Amino acid sequence: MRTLILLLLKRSSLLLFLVMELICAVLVINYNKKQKDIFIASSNFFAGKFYSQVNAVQGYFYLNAIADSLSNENKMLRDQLASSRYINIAEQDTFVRVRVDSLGGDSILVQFVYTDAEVINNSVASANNFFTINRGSLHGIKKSMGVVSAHGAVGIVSSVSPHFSTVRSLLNRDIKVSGNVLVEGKAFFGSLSWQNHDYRFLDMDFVPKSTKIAIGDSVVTNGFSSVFPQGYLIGKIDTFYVPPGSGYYKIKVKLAEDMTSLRRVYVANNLLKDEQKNLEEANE
Amino acid sequence: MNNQLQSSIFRFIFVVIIQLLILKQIPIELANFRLLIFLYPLFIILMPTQSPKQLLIFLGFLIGIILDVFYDSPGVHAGAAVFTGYIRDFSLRLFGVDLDKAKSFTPSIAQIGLGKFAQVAAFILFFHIFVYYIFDVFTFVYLGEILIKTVGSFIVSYPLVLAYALIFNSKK
Repeated sequence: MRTLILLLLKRSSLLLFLVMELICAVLVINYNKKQKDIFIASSNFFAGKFYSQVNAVQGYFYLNAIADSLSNENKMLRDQLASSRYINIAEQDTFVRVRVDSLGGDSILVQFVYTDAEVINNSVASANNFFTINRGSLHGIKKSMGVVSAHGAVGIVSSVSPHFSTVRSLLNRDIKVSGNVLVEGKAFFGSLSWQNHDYRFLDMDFVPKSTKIAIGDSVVTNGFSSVFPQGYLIGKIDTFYVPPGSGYYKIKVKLAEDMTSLRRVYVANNLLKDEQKNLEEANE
Repeated sequence: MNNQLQSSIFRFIFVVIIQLLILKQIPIELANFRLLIFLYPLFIILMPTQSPKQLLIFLGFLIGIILDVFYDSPGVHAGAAVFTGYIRDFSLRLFGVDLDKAKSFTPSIAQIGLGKFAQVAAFILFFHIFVYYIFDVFTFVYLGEILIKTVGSFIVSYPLVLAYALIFNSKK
């Protein structure tokens, strides 16, 4: 014991140095949002490999559910194919044909390109939840892209390593998503955030109480933030009330996606994002 | 001794003021990275030679944390400056400065010569900036980014550190 103390005294500057650096590292991790994300991401860089191994085994237990959701999605996509549409206009003269043909070229642009990904690590338990996907910068994933699943929007990419990305799930206090409530064909926008710490629900604010909303109404993304494509289901209204003295509803939205069993997701890359952002910044 | 204390306090304040009022306002970009200009490591380089290492570490932490408050990056400058405080004496010895003289002195250009000072300053400044960006980027995965930023910042900071040391050349 005595030699230990003597050693510590002899090396006290080294000790002080290490303690000080530790304090600084703790400060860095706790107070700086950027580093906080990266701390998680870089741990995933090492842990990511481990998780993908675990995932390879775990995947077998979910095969049925995955196959179901994939076939559902295939059905949905097939529904959207041009060949699955019945054109309800009899082509009786050249006028109609010309109109159809002229839709080619520049009149339709692709705005969102999707990258498929598998969730290899997920949390719903903490105050700020993240999940990790097995796609990274090598696959074109960048920070603050939107992530959707077969059932709806699920999160926003927060940091990226070459092979993995960390996604800030909607169950995260740092996230605010703009959404629309659809009431009788009209859309009223509000702000969604996670305040209640129940992983099945989000809270929606700033929908004016003059709106006639009902339980079960859909809440969809509205594309204001240019992160998510427009019209992706977020959830359905579960309960709502007007706080005394407020002009806005307090709405509890049941998430469309069960965040605990998130497996297959798609990262939405908005090709026109920079254009929109530059324009909006120029106005400020 | 008293004189060294006074000039150290004066240097502390002056370096922080220059760092915050002037250098923080200058935006420099290299390959899409925003670079910082560092002057304040000079304060640690120029501490009197017989100051205990613990004091250097503590003052490094102090000047770093003050800058962190203004740079809005708690712990990043402090972490780098603590490191700088720790390696200061080692660096002086490395380039042949005799620290064991009976009298404490400021390792300025007038005391140790321009050649030695330039080497010591380059060594300390480079590692200060390197550690700073390690704390800032906070992972070794982006080592390339860290190195580019370090070299860029070093190139803009080093002439400034030398200029300051030449202008305020302490003879004591």
